[in-house]
Amino acid sequence: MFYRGNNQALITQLKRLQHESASVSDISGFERLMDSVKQFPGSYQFHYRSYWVSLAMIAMVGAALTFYDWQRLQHMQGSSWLLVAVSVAALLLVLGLMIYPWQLLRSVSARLLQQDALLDNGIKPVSFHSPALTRELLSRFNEFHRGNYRREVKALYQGRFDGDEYAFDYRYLHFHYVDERIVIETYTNSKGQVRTRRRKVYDHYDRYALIMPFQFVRDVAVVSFANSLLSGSTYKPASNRFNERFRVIAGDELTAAKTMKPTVVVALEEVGELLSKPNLEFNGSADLCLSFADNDMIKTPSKVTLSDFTAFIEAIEGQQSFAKLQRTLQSIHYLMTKLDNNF
Amino acid sequence: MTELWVVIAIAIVLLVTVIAIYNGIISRANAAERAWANVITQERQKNKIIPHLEDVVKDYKAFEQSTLTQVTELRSALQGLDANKIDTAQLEKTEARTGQLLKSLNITVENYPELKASESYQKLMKEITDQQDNIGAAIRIFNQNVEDFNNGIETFPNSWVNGLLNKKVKIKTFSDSEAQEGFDYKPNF
Repeated sequence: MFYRGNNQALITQLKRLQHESASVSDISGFERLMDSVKQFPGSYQFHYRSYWVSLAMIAMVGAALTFYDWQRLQHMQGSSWLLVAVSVAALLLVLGLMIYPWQLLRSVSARLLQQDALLDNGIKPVSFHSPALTRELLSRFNEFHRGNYRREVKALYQGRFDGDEYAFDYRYLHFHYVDERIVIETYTNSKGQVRTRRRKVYDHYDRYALIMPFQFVRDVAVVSFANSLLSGSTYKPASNRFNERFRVIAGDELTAAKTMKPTVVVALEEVGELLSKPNLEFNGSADLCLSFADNDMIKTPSKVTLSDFTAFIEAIEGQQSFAKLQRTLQSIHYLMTKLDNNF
Repeated sequence: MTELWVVIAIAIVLLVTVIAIYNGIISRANAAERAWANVITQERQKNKIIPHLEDVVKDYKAFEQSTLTQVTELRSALQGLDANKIDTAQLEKTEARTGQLLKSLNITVENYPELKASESYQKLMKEITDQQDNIGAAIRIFNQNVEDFNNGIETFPNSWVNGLLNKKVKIKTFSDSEAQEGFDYKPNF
């Protein structure tokens, strides 16, 4: 009702793409979706001119009427304030009508780019039941024993890395946890008396993790972001820089000493430079959970939108890479080659 | 009376600062020494690999002749390394000997395709590469710790505390003289 011509067709197209992109799970499905993007007969440019004209007219008419009303009595009265309110409401409505398609275009473009980037990197979203998955993670890794109020997995993906010597499947997940704490506040009541009250405060945190079978190390944790549940022998390698950032906790000191070879220490220093608050936990089943605070591991670096159609199609047709993910996986592969203990 | 307390407070703050700097220099010196000991431990792992190398090449007489001399030189260089005394010159000598031995091995093995293709030789080379990587990483850690130590005795007011109390001298970092020879550029420090 508020949109006409190309604007209306564009909104219908964007809503359709938004709906259909939710069910895309493979390359052929995505290619079909992109065909429908290319076959759209209209333009992906939203035409704002009529909205700018409306904005200007509403502003001018509202100001003129308010001025006329004020001039009659030389002060603002009820009707003047009503005119101002109606004008502002009309301005906000028009602004909303302008922002909605812009926002829709941005979100659909970002979604398509993100799906393309995931497909380019062979990463698939995995459906999961959060409580069951959280229980599984809690039983396998100490890393997830965080949050005294709530713990949940918000997203799960599956991928594969093929290195020169080893290939492995990995899971990437977004873990969210909430800590509840009680704060005591002082306040002054209506009688001027200073009183204290207890209030519950909820702190929300996010961690991200890569989980994979590692094979070569068991019961060792290298942590830069403390986890109180981890216990065992601690070990300090010779590197000052490593010790400034990480703490090594292992089932026994000998295992830690054998694991922390100089090449491993230097590789972990580099992981510490690459990621924010990284923790590596090798559990009793020789699986590795590498957790960190970075939220951009599988985020498309491209910011182009459908309104810049040629650049958008170029971005989709080119190879998008998750540089940080690739560097992290290469580091894990390097650690495997240095810890495989062939000799 | 207040002035006296101010003087005492300043003296206590100064004393605590001097103690903290003094201890910091000691712990950084210990870290550099530990990193050095770590380098020597890694270097001495070569003593475990050399007998394997001799075993693998023993059936190749010409090969053995050329290799044995270099193995002896490497063994002698390894013996000169002391875990308790930082001596980067001796380490440079040992690394140079290792480099020469590996270079010679790589050239000579081209004349023995069956040896080059053998599983035992491949395994040995992987072990040597792994060992060299560990030595390289240990040297990098040593150099980082030495840099921390040197900064810790040269910056003010640490230099003043060191000159007065610790009396530690700057440690020379390890540099690869063979690699440096390849460059015309020489830094002016």
